[in-house]
Amino acid sequence: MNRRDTFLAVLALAAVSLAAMAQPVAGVPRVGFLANGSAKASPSVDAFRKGLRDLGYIEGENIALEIRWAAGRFESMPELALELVRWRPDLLVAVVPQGLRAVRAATKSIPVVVIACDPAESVVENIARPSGNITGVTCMASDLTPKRLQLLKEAAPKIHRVAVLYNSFDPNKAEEVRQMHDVARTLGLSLLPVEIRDAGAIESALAGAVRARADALLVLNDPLLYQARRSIVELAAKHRLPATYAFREYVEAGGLMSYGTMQNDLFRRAASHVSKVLKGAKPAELPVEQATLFELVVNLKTARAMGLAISPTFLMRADSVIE
Amino acid sequence: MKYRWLLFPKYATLIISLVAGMLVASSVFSILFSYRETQEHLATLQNEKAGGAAARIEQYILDIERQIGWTALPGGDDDRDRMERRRIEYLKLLRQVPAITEVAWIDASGREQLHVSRLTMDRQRSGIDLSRQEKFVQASAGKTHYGTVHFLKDTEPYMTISRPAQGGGVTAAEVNLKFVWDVVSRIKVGKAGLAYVVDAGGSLIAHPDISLVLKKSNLMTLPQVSTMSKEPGASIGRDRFDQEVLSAHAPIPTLNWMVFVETPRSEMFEALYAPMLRAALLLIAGLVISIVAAYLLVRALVRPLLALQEGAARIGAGEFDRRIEMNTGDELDDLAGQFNQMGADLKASYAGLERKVAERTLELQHEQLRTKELLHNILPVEIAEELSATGGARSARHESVTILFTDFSGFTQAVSTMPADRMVAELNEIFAAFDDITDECGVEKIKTIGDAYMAAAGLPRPCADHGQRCIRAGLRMVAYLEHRNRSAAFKWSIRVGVHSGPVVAGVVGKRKYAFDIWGDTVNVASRMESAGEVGRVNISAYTYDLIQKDFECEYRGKVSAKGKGEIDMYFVKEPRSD
Repeated sequence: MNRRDTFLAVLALAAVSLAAMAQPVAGVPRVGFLANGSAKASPSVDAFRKGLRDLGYIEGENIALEIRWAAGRFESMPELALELVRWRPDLLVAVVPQGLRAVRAATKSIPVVVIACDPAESVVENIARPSGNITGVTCMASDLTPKRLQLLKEAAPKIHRVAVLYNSFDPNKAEEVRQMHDVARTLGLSLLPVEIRDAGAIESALAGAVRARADALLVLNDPLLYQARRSIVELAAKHRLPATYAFREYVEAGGLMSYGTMQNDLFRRAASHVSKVLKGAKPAELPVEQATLFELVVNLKTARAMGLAISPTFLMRADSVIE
Repeated sequence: MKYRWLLFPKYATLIISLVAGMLVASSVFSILFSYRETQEHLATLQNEKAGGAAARIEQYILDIERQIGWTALPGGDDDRDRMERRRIEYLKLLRQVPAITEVAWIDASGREQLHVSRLTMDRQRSGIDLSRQEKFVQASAGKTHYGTVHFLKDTEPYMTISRPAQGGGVTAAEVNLKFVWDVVSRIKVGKAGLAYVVDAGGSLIAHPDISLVLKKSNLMTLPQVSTMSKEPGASIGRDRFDQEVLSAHAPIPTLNWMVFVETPRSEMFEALYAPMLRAALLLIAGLVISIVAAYLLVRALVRPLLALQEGAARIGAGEFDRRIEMNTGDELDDLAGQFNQMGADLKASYAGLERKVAERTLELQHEQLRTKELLHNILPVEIAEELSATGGARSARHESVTILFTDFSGFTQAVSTMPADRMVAELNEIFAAFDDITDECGVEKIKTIGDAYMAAAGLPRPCADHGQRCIRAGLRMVAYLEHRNRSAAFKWSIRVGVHSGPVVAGVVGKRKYAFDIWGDTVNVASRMESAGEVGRVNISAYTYDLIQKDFECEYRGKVSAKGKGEIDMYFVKEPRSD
C-alpha cells in the first residue's frame, strides 16, 4: 500500500507540474490607471472595475490595478503618468486628452487604452487601425455637437443666439466651433463663442455672453468644464439660459438637457479592450471603439423653473426624464 | 520456499494478464467511446450554438425589419402634417429599436424627404436623389432589401434595411450590427472555440477578432466555408492557421449568411486526458490488486498443498497413523481425506500382511522343527545339523569308537510260527525300547538290519567313554528283554556283541539317506555278536581294554570268529561296584 501511495503522490506531482506548464507562470498582469477623478467617488472607475470583473479579472488575484488620481488637477498628470510607468505596468489606461497627453509623453512602448471623448483622430491616426501603442474607446462627443444644437432648438424653439462655452486648452475646439457656425445657420441660429482657460473664468465669461444677448447655452464637453458642471448649471439657471450638455451628469446637477454617451458604459467597455491587450492583442490591431449608445436626458424641473414648455414630441425622444 | 517460484509466477502472470488485459481493453474502449462521444457532444453543442446564433441573428434582423414595417401610415391630407406624423413615427422607431441609428423616408420618385438620425442633424425635404440606389430599387419593387455590411468610420458595422413604406415610398434604416458581434463574441465553446459569420461570398461579417473583419477577410479558402452547405451540420475543417477544427455551421436564410462555430480539434484530445489518467490509475490499482490476489491465492493453495505433501511423505515413511488436518472444506479437503483413507487402508493391509507373515513363519518353523526331528531320528544330531546347514555331510574317519550289535536267537523259527503283523509289532516294541536305551546311554543308533540292531558310541562326536556307553546299553537291553519275557507271551532272547576300533562314518545316498559306518571294526563287532551267547554281552579284547576297570568281565578265551580267526573274547558280567 505504501508503494501505491508513493506512486499516487508521484502521479499527482506530475499532474501538478503539467498543469503548471500549461499556464504561464508569470505574475499577474499589471494595469496602471491614470484617473481624472478622486479616489472617494468615481462611478466611472467603478464601472471599469465592474467591466474587469465581468471579464473574469479579480483585483489582487489575477490582475493588479494601480490607480493614480489626478482629482481634476491636470497639471499633476505628467508626474502621475511617470510614476505609473516606473511601476512597470503591462498596460496603461488614460482618460481625457490631458491624461492621454501625459501618458504619451511618459511611454512609447507600454500599450495604452484611452477613454477619450474628443476627436479620437487627434491622438490616434486612424481609429480603425490605430498605429503605435494606443487604442481605446471614444464617446464621439464632438460628432454629436450639431445634433445637440438641433435638439436644443427643438426643445426651446424660441432661441436665437447660442453661447458656445469651450476650453481652448484643446486646440481642436476652435475648429469645431468654426464648423458649428454653418450648422447653426441651417437651424436659424447664431453662435456666440465663449472661450475660457480655467474654471474661474466661467462666471464672468457667461455674464459677458448674456450681456451680448445670448439666450441659450451650448457647452462643448471638456474635463475642466465637466468638473465645473455645478457652477455652469447654476449660472445657466441664474441667467435663464436653456442649455445643452454632453453628459447626463450635467442634467443630474440641474442642467436642462444632455445628449451623449453613457460614460459608465464607455468605461465598462474600455475593460474589454484592456482584456484583449492583456491577452496578447496588439493595440495597433484593435480599432478604437466608438460609442453606439446615446441618451437624451431632459430635466423637466429645470425647464419648468425657466418657464420652458417641452413638447410631447420632444419628450418622446428622451431616453430619460428627470422630474 | 521453492513453491513460490512455481505457482506464484504462474498465477500472478495469469491473473495480472487477465486483469491488465481486461482493464486495457475496457479503457481503450471507454476512451475510444469517450472520444467519439466528446466529438459528438461537441458537434451537437456547436450545432446548437450555431443554430441558436443564426436564429438569434435572424430574429434580430427580422424584428428590426418588422419594426420598420410597423411605422404607421400617416393620416391627414396636409402634406406638412403628414411629414410631421411620419417624423414622429420614425422617432418612435428610434426609441424602440436602439440598433437603428438613422431612418429615412424616400418618396416614390426616389428622393429623400425625411431623415431622422441619432448622430447627425435631422433633415426634411433634402430631395437627395437615391433612386438608383439598391435600397430604393429593391424596396420600391415591394421587397425587403438587406444591404451589404459596411463600416461607419471604419469601425462600426452597419447594414441598410429598406422596405416599402406605408403611404408610398420606401423606408430605409441604418442598422448597427454590433448586436451580431455581441452574439458571436459571446459564443464560447471549450477553451479556444469561437464563432464567426460570413456572407454568401465568404466575406467575414462578424468575428471575435474585429480586426479580421476590418481587414475585409475572405474565408472562402477554408474547406468548411467553401462547401457552404445550406443544411446545418458539423464537419472537420481548418482554421486560418491551417489547424484542424471541429466546425459546425448554421445558415441564416433571410440574409444568406452563415454562422460557423469552431473548436480546435486538439481540445477534443484534451477531453480525453481525464479518462486516460483514470484508466492509468485503474490499471495500476488493478495490477496491485492482482498481485496481492495472486499472492493470497497461491498462499491459500500452497499451504494445504504443503500440508498434503508433508502428510503424504510421512505416510510414505510408514507413519500410517498420521492424519492430515485440512478443514478447508474444498477439493483439497477431499484430497486430504483420501490421503488419510489411504493411510488407514495401508495400515490395515500392512497389519494383515504382518499377521500372515507371522503365521507363515510359525508354520515354517513348525515344518522345520518336524524336518529336523525327522532328520534327527534318522541321523545323529551333529550330522543332521550339518546336513540341514550345508546340504551334505562329510564322511569322517573316527579312530576310536565302540560298536554294538544285537540279534535275536531263534528268530527264523519265530517268524515262521508267528503272524507277520504280530511279528512286526513285537519287533517294533523291542526296538523302540532299544532306541530309548541307546538314547539314554549316549549311544547312536545306526540302523536295524532285519532283526539285528546296530548302534555305536564315540561318533559322530568323539567321546572317551564310548566303550562304557555301549556296554551299559547292551546290559540294559539284555535286562529289558529278561524283564519283558516275564510277562510277554513271546519270549525273546538276544545276543549282544561289542567291539571297538576305527570306522569311517558318513551319509550316503540321495534319497532316504542313512547314516552308516564302514570298516572292519563293524565286521568284527558283528562277529562278536554272532559268536556270543544268548542273554550275554560278548566283547572283544579291544573293548575289554577300554572298560575293564569299570566292568567285571569273564574271559572266554580265544573264540573262532567267522573270517577272523581266533579272537580273544570276554563276557561282561556286571559293572564294578566301587
